Amino acid sequence: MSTLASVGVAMRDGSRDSVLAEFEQVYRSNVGGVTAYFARRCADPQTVADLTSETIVRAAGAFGSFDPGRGAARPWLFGIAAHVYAQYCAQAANGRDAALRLAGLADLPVDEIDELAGKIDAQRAGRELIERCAQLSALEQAAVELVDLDGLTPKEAAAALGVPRGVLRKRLSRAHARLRKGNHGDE
Amino acid sequence: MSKFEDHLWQEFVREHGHDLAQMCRSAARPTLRPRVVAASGLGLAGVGVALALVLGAATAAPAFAVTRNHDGTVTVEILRSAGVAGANAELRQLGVRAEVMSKAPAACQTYAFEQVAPTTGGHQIANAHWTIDPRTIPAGRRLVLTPASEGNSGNSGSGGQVYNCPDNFPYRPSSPASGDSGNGGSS
Repeated sequence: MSTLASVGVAMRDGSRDSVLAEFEQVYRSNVGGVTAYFARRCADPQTVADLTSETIVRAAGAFGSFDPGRGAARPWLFGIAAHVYAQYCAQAANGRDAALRLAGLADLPVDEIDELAGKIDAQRAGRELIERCAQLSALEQAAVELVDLDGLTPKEAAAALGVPRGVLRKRLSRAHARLRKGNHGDE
Repeated sequence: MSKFEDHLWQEFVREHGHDLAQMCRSAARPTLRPRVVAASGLGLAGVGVALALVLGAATAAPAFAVTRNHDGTVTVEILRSAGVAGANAELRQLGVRAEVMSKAPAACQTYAFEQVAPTTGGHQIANAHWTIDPRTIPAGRRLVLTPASEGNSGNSGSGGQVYNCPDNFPYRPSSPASGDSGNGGSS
């Protein structure tokens, strides 16, 4: 996979013909991470697919205004994913049946369901870490996930979460300390 | 990439690739979003972020307009099919639970709320417009606005259709009207 830095450089071109190619590069570099992000949260492969799809479509719609000079694509995309998931949760909390889908929407082929189910299984360790983070604040949980599981730098995580870098670093440090303390307490 | 991720990309390109290729990158970032937004060349569904920024760079004829009227109603105009996604994005931005689609999902019912006055639409999603009252949309429901020529049984006046649909999540990307690549040109 190409680095986000290289994606950022390529995107400075900005010509009409290159937009699709640029977006494809962003997609290919990040869709795995976005899928994993949802696979940690949802047990249903179809839901993981829907949320990933929604994130990509929203990102494409906003791509015209995405400015790589202000930050890499990866945190930008994770910010959109977080928003999509929050919206999904809010609607689920309102009692709406999130699994109910409109007629005419294509279901996933069996092999892709199996593939996503495998990805959901593979995120078990990530889910366990998230569960251990339940004692932390929402910001600390998100920081730990983005940095420790999704591989963002603290700077990128701060951009994705919309908080100052110093705040992110401080919260991340505190979260790690609390998690370590929790580990020792379990022993 | 996994099979799912490849498939998702292929589906995305098939439905929206042309429109994304037409998108201009915008460096200008207006600080105020105009009340009436017109766009060209943005054919992606699900766009919900910074749409007006894209529109600022548009130089061709507008593809859609979403207007909040003084009486609280909202008028949606699709001048070219490429404007469908942009209009949907703007509706989301305004918090209006309504979506323009080429065809209403089967789960939808013909609109039956007398407070809302949908007006005319076209045979494709071009030169179509609807006026709706967001205040009358029941909780948990979403309006789907379609042209009249899709064989739907709804009856909302002289051309356009308005359907009362479940507001379940996520809505998949809506395609431009069949037979139109999204590039428009026939306003």
